[in-house]
Amino acid sequence: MSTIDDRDTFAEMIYQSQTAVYNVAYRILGNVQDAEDAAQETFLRAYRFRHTYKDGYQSGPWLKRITVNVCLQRLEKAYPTQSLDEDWLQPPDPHPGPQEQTEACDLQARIQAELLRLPPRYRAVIELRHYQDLSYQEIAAVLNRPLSDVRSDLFRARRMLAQNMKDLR
Amino acid sequence: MSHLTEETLNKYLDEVLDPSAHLSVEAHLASCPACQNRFNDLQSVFHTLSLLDEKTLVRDLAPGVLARLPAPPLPLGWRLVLAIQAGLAMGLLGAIAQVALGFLGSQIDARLLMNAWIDTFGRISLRIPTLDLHMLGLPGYSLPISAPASIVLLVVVTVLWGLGNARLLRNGHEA
Ligand SMILES: [Zn+2]
Repeated sequence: MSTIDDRDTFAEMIYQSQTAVYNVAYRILGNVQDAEDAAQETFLRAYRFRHTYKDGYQSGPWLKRITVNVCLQRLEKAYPTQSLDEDWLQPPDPHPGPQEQTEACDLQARIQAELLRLPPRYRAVIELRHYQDLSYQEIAAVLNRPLSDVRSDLFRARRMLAQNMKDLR
Repeated sequence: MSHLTEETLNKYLDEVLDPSAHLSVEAHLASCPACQNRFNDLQSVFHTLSLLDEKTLVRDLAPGVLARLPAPPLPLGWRLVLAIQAGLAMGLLGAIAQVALGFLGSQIDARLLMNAWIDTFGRISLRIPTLDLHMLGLPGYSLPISAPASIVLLVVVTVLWGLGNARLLRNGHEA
């Protein structure tokens, strides 16, 4: 029996990790409303699959991994006809228009925008490697994908970012 | 000497190369400006990504999540109380039904009633099968238990019913 069966423990877990979970969702989805919804969905899914949580371990990493999959599934549902891979066509144009050029000086907004230009599967591997510090093997396990695919996605994602962010240096 | 592959550069930055491979990459980078450039490009991605700050969550998500959790299973003790309550209630219902049917059976001849009804509504030749309560072998008035015992039973059932439903309501409210 998991300690999460106790509601107070679970509530405490939400209080402690909701900001981290929200940030994962925000980096992948790029807006407040979707990120909040995905974070809530993450906790509900975590509760349903609480038997997969190992007592004694930190809940944060476990929850943040679930969040990535929740976000990917939301994107899949929102854009059912699109592939989440390389040929993903980003629906809204992420390139800053003349009006937003000044805002592009805002480094934070710019990095976030560049993340959103990536196909969702690339965002997921960047998130898991760079923000959650997982190994290639761990990423493959979280995404339930072959190790070789994960590696090539990660390397391609970095190449795309390097090209798109050249002007930031 | 061939240039470093994309994979090697990535693995070098991820620090997953074995020590000898790691050293040979360092040696190559020191002597090859082309690969050094590619390395710098890639390294800057690592650096830029690390500059992204955490956002502040302005809304507490806990109440919304907790409100949507399924109701937890009742503890064993409560489930026992509910089971006993249900059993006793069925027993009481049975006793009440027995008394009521016994009363009907002894006071009214159901067959007479049905025949009268048929006569009234146009002498239908179709005979509706009528219920003869005596055929069911039901006794008359008598309860199988004494009056004080039945009152005690009634009180126990009522108390358990109240407790059980209060617990169920509370459970539903929490969910
Ligand atoms: Zn070289």
